Amino acid sequence: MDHAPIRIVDTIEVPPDRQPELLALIEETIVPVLRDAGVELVSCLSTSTALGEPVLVQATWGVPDHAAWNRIRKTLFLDPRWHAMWERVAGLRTGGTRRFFYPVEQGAGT
Amino acid sequence: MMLRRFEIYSIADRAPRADVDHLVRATRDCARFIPEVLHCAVGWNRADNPLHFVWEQAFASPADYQRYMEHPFHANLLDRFLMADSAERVTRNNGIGAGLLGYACDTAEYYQPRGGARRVVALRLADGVDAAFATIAGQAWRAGAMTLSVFRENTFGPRWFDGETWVGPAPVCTHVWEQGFASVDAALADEAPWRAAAAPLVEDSIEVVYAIEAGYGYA
Repeated sequence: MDHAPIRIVDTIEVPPDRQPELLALIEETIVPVLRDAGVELVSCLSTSTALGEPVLVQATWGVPDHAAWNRIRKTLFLDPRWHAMWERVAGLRTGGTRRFFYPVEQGAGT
Repeated sequence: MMLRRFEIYSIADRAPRADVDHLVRATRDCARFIPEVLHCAVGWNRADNPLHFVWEQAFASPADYQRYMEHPFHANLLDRFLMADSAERVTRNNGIGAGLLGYACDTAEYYQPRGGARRVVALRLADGVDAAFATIAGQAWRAGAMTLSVFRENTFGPRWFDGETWVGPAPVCTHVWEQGFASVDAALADEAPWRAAAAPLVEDSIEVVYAIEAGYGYA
């Protein structure tokens, strides 16, 4: 399997009433910090807040490959803003995942 | 040039048991997925301090270490349980500065057979006392309780990419002293009389003592 380019998909679960706070944090803090390090925001989507269940906010990030991601990780790890912003996210979220996705050949599964 | 490396973690109080078990498997058997990882083993700290889990490993060269750092298994599985940006992180910050330790060596002089145990001492030494501490470490080794003793400058932390090239910043712990024992009981029974002699040279230190739980390919 070709491990490039990479889409990093963060799925963050929050109570419905905390969703606006999380979206603001993503837009105002996380996106600029990651952009400075070389990470592109591909999309940011959310499940509905009107379903009476926890909301999932899904942020998808793009990086070229794992060598680039290693350089980015190092930059982020040494950036105090990165530690602070994820601590704020940890205070909001009730669960979630981060998964790495890679291109697949169309029709490969048929 | 080989690289010897330790990652030492505090486990979060509320970490799900299943996720901790997954971290243990991912680290202990990492060589199954990243063949450049040598002598991979884990252990649970028996010393009375906030450090809990130890992952020890080695690499045959800086190039092998770089391949490990850039391997998809590293980003996907290891970072899932370790990094602050992961919702499934099971470790916590401890403010100690001993999370990553290691050193360069010519041969696998650190090697301890299965069934053995280790004490790893993370040290911040005063300036210019390396030789004096090495003398104390040598005396402790010759006293006979240890099966091996390696005292070196801690070169990990500031050498992110290949374990060799400095990118900073300076590590909290300046040196690491790796000790081997025939069993964890022998390690715990060792009263370590070197501590009194070494005290004037040491600005700060913390240690882990653990039975070696050998991983995939450990031989």
